[in-house]
Amino acid sequence: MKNTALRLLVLVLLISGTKLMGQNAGEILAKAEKNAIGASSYSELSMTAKRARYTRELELKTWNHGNKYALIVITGPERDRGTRYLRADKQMYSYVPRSGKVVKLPQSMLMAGGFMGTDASLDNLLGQASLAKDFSHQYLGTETVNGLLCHKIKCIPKPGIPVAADAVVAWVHTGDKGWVRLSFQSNRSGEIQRMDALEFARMDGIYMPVRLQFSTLGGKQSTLMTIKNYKRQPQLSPAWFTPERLEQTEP
Amino acid sequence: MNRPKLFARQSELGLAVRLAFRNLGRNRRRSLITGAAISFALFFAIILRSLQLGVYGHMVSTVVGSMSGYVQVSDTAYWPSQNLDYSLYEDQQWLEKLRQDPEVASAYPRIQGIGLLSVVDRSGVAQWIGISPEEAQSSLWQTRLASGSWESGPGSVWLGKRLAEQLQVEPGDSLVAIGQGFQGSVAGASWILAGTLHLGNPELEKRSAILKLEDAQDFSGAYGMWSYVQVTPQRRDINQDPSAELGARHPLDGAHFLSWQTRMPELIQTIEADTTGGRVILFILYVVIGFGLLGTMIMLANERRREFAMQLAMGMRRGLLAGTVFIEVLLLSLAGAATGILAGRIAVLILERYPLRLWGDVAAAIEQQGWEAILPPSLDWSISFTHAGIIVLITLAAAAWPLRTVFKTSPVHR
Repeated sequence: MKNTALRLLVLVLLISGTKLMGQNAGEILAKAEKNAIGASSYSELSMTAKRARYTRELELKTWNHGNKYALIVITGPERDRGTRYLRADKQMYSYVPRSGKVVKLPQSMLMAGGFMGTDASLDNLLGQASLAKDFSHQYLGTETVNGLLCHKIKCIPKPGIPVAADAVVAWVHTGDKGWVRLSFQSNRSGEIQRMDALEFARMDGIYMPVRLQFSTLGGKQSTLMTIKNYKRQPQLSPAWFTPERLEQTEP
Repeated sequence: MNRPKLFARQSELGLAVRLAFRNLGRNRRRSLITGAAISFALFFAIILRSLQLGVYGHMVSTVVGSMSGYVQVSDTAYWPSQNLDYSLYEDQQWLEKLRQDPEVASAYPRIQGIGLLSVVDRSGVAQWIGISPEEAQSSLWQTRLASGSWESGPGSVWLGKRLAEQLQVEPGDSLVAIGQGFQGSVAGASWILAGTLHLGNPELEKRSAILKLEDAQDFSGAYGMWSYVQVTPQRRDINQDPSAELGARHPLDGAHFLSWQTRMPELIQTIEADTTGGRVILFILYVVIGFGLLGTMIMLANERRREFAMQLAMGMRRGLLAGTVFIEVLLLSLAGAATGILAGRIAVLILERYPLRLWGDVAAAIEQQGWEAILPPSLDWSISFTHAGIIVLITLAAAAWPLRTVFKTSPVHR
């Protein structure tokens, strides 16, 4: 009798324990993403891609509304100044200053692979699908990453979510810094890309990573991104992101 | 006792030849059937082999010869990614020396990459290739023009026929091109279509955009750079690889010479796998023909058993008789081989003029692999002579049976 009661207690503890863990993982991610997803903003970025033979510097301005609407304008270097990209939901456009024309892009072209010769993808710049909402979670304990104690959570995309990776492993700060490292993994070839948040700061009232590192090829190539300016732009709506806007926005 | 010589005197050879001729004429139907079997076998072997080797030549010359080149000189990091970032610095002096090499038929620098071509709301991904003015002048490119002209100002582009159809553009129309440029820069330009090209390979026609070298360098931002130098050597056989030799004679800093066999091992593997299949079919053909001939020879020996006995009884030496039979078979096989070669050659020449064209699913599959679905034959004489030699040898081996009969027949009928 006593034995049975004990067993029942252990069972209840086990079930509630896993349930608690599952909720925890989702909540941790939701908290980390609270400010990032769905916000409208304007930012100025600089990117430095390191390659075996050269280092490339890129300066850009972006406007975004959530992760489905964005306008990116390249302001440097001189040769590429004025090249612009627009994403409006499922449509992609580019403006080529040397031809003075707006070109509609097949969606796959810029989504896949590095953006403008860096290790960041366009998805990285615009914000990917929500880890909290669009993924199922598996809590893997705590780990120290980049000197910060983090929860390690494995996220697997729910069916129908368009994500290039088969799984994303997120390291989320146990404090209030948000995600510290994201590792995008494929079942076939292991880690595809890794994002590291190196420095955090408060910008326009939001605490966010301001220096990020993107690495590919198992860390053989990396790109450093610095957020130089960030402003909330709550007035931006999907209707603002039109091909005409793309044509008219000067660098 | 001396070992009996085949022909005791010089005049006996003449006698044997004369007898052999007459014997062939005595039973014309038998001679004709045997000769026809030989020439038919040879005819089919020649057509089979010529088509097979011809198709390999066709594959190699369309896929390798015109586009990627028999030998490529490129940065050691260029293959296999073919990344624009791993380009070579222009070196005209080195290029001139390479061109003067007697082993080199031509050497053309190129720069190439991938871009998106767009016209209004239609777009297509294309491999753009910047070619030098000398290369544009070569007959290879001149003869490929499907429409438009090669005489054109800066900012001109020539598209593969099917790419132009897909984009619905005609010479004179303008297109916008964007892509990844040199070392991460943005490549963007507006080009005017100067002509469309017939490239003999549907896949290439769907994705090739040819530019002038200078326009391509300006588009990609790779000023003063070459992706690779396309070298066509004098010796271009499938099993020839002059890249190491050329590389040793014309070293270039940071670059290496790569043959198409190294760059496209899958093409070589396809050819090797296929050629083995072809050899098996030929082997079966020869076994069938060989037994057919053996049957004819056994029949010949049995029919002439009495004749042999009679001649032996009248005092003809066995050696001379055997020699006569051997010469008969030899003459027969040579005549069969000659008509076989003649017929095979005529058929091959007709097939070259009017190549077999595949259709339906097979054609689609072949086009997908990257070459036009025609079966042009090889005109190599060595195919005819090799197989003529093989069939003559098989016939002579089958002649062992009547020869054995000559030596076993008794002059006295028991």
